Amino acid sequence: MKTELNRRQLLKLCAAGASVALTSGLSSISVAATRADNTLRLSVNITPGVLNPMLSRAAAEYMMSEMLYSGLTSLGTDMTAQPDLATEWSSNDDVTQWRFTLRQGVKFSNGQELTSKDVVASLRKLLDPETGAPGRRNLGPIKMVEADGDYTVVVTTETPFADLPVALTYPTAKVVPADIIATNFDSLAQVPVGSGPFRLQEFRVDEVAVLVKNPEYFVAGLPYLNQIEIKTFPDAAGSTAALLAGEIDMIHDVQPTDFARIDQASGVSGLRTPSGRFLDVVMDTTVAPFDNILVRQALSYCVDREAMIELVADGYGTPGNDTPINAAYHYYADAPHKSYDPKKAKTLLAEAGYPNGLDLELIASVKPGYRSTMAVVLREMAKAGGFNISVKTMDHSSYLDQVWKKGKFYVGFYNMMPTEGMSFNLLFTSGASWNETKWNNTTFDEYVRLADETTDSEKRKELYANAQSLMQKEVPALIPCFFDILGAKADYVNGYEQHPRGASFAFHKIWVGSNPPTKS
Amino acid sequence: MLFLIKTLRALMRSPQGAVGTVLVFLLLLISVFGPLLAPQDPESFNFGSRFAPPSAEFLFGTDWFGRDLFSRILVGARSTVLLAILATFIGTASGALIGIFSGFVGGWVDELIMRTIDAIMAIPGLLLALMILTVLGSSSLNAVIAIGVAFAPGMARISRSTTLAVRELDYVSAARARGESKLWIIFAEILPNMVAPVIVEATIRVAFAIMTLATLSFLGLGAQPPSPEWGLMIADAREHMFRSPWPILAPGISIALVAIAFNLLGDGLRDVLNPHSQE
Repeated sequence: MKTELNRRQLLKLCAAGASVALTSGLSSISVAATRADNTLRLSVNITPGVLNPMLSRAAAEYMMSEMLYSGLTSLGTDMTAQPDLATEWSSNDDVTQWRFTLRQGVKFSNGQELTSKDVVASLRKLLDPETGAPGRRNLGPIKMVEADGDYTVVVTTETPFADLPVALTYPTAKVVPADIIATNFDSLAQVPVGSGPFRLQEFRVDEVAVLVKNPEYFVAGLPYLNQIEIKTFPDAAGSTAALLAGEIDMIHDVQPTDFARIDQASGVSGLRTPSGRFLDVVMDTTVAPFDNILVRQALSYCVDREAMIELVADGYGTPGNDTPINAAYHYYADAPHKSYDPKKAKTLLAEAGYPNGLDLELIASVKPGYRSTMAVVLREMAKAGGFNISVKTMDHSSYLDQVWKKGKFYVGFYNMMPTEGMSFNLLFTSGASWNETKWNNTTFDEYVRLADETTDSEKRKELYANAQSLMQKEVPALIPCFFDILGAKADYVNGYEQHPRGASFAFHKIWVGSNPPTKS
Repeated sequence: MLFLIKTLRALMRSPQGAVGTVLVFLLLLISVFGPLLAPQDPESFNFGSRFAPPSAEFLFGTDWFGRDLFSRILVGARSTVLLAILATFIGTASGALIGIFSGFVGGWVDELIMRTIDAIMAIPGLLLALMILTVLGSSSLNAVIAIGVAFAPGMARISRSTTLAVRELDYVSAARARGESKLWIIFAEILPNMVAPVIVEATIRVAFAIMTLATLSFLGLGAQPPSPEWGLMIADAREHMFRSPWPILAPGISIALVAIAFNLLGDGLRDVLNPHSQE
């Protein structure tokens, strides 16, 4: 019966179209009914798979751990550190030692009180290479973490590191009870024990996660919501239809192709925030042909960056310059964008020893959908430059297992980082957590290291500018365009501020309005 | 040759046979000559005319990259239709051989083969194809093999039951009495007398193969983008459905037409080749 999928789907879609029109009256009743229980129903496109907060690696997982756990600091929408468990912090003069003062009376969901020993144990566990926590390197050059009394934590760094409070907002840097770390760390994969604004009630992978209000949350009055249901909608069209029909209240991640339609519908509104989120074409610079810088440069001249935004991001984006930094960052070095110049690409390619063109296989995961769109667009654009790229798509879990960080030519997808240094240290320095390109450029490493160490804003600006122009010249990865963060919510959902980082959510500040939506 | 012409004539007499034959014939022409007929490169972008409705320049309209849908359908016919026929052929040939052998030899060999086939048939065809593709990796050719393998058990059953009926007939007993070898009996006596039902079954299965192939591509396991394979075109067009219906309608209607054509031809052939209705 599955063999008739195509015809049936077509029929179903037609029927769905008709029934939306018929049942819109009904749906507004069901929406009104949910107001009383103060529940938010949210859709995500990739199911949260990893529950252990220290091992999470995708937006839906960050979302869950942000609700279930707390960190020392949290990230504001202006990319500054805001109080979370720590109420205040200060450093010594040469920014090598930071003191964080903790809130008192914070309770874990198992009833234990959260004290400095839990924070110390958590940070140490995160820094332990054996834990395998993603973004371990992003916490900064931490040398030592110690408790000073029950409510003060002292963090000492190897080198001066001015961004430490911001670095500690990394989504995996959550605090869990010290005794669980010592005896039963793996249990966090099933049973969360945290101090976040919500508690886990039910979790079915690929389906739904139900989180309920933590009545003992340390910020009085928060969260406003009684319950959040995170529903997995692998299909973007399904998620959009559900929002328009009133079955969900908010979509975390809207595909650019759906955005205009949602924004125009009544009762719902699109949310759009410029961001440093990007798609890149990762090249393993240690293997042929990408070990030849000319090949990489040739490819970078094959991209019409403005057209790329139009075709891949449907106009909801900004052009990229082969660095992970764009205008959403503080120290963005505005340089002229590389022009689309297939002739130059051909010349470079011939110079590199491929006068007859080069055959390549580009791998793209099917999620999010624009990965393979970009691959197809690049294939077409690069034809003129002498590249013959065949595109291979792959389902997301196989991609994570087999290709990500291992493949030599694939499409990667990354969120914005709080600071330039964190972005570089996540992906492009020699010691990067996810050093996919294996570029290992010592000059670049040095720029980033020096910038990390200084608090002098002018000096930082110059160093980060150098780092950016070096990437632009050597092209360890092709970064043709940045994507705005796109989401959508029903008009009665209040208090949600979209975060450009794409990994912070602040759902505890959302409330659902009492005015039931009026649908036409 | 004479047999072929006779069959064709009989086919043209029934309405569904006639329609099916003409459609399938046209389709094969398009599959073979489609790339030559296509007015444009099926992969080249037309920035100025994204989501264009059908017009004189773009007969079926354009898709989200401004690619000409008419050219894509023409070029894609080859990978969609010919590959489906190839998949059916693989399934039919292997299935029929297994079935005849099993039916003719009989005894415990028959039991063993048929119970194994029962076990395989317990897995739905599409699932089996998915499983095979997971092992082989996704590509058009692997999808063809997967569908062929998934089709074989059903074919084996049909040919076995026909063989069982034919085996008992007098001319087979005569051949046995003459002391002919088993292989000779299988190929010279049994095979020609069971070709008709197998051909009918295979024709109808082509329609299934096209849909399964499209389904696999739709799921991202068959053809790879930007190939103009019809199932893949539908899968890619889904997210643009609300801005323009043409990218999804053109391949959708094409698949439906092809499936109908092969079904009609199969029905027609069944009437013509069935010995009981051949008065």
